[in-house]
Amino acid sequence: MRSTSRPALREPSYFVLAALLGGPLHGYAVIKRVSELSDERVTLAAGSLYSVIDRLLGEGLITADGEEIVNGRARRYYRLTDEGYRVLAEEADRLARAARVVMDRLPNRVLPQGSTRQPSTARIRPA
Amino acid sequence: MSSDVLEKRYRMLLRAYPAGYRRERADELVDTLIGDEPTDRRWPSLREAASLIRGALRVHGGSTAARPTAVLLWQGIHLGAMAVLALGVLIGLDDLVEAFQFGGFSDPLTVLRNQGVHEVMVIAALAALVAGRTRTAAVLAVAAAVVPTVISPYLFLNGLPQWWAPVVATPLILVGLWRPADVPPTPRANAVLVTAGILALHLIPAGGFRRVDMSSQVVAATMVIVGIVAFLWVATADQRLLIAVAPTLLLGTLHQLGNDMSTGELLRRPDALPSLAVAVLIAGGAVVSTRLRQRTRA
Repeated sequence: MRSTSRPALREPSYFVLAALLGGPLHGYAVIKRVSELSDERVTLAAGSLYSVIDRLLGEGLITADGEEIVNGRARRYYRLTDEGYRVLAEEADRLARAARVVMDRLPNRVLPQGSTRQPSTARIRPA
Repeated sequence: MSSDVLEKRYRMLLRAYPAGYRRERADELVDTLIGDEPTDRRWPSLREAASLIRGALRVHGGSTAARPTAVLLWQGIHLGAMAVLALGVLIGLDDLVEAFQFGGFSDPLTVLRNQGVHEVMVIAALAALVAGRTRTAAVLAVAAAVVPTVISPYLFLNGLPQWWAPVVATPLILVGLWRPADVPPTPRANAVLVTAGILALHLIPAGGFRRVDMSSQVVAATMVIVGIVAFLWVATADQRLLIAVAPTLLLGTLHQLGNDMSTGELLRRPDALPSLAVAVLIAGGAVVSTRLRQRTRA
């Protein structure tokens, strides 16, 4: 199934990486973007966000991308690394395949409202 | 103005983080906490406060270290040695006070020979360990197990938990001498705080379980549940506590073994083998899960 032995990304890590797909963001913007992308299912508090950021920095999936001073405080931006793009794409592909296994077999009457029968990752929670 | 007050309160909470991390990240964290939108909040929300404290505990537990498993293991062992000595001191003091309360003043020298010498030596070993004098602490811990026993075998013959404290701590201190150079020693204030937390866990008044009346049992059960939940809330963030608590539970088991209990009794008493087995399993789980997380590092 998987090309590497990397464990599945946890949901907060997945959405933080996904938030950075649009370009570099600072901490507060990451929290807002994660909330939007997850339909407000994942709402990170600052302490949790920085635990995730520290882990992703340690794994080399994101990197700091400049600072600016706002209201007298340093605001640091983060962006995805090439490894981050690769891991995120791999995880999204895994989730899509896992979703397809179910969506292709679901009878029409139990499809979620608004479903177009396209493989969707919206309801799948990474381990 | 309210934003200034809020920032000040956030910065108070950020003091839970290690100083190095705070220097690097405090401004950034405050910026994220306050956000872009104007606010009239004056107090951090409970959720933000809890998240910051757990975040700080994770950093103390080595989450940002280059080798988190090594930090977890080596600092956990060091904290375990400190906690077990501190628990030995606490139990010893309690027994000393009790001895004087029940007739010890008629023959104070015997009490001091039976328990006092041991107490002083264990305190000395603990002080050396807190001061970062690991080799001295190792020598004093060995001496605390041997010298008082030669002077008076009272504690040894009764298999009292405080006698076991330096015996359990010595190998942990000796192992700690091989701490790799890239694993920092546990900061003193943090080590004292962790040790106090583990002692607090042992001070939960669970004696009400043995009482006949239901209300005492309910109070004891509530205290135990609240204590364990609070401990796990902290220890699942700073997993060094999961390692450090295991040797302190060994004291109870060794004491019960010394009382010639049957295997069945040892298994039934929650302060004997079951709690030790659970603690060892949790500590093992903490190391394995941290190792697995570390394996994914690029």
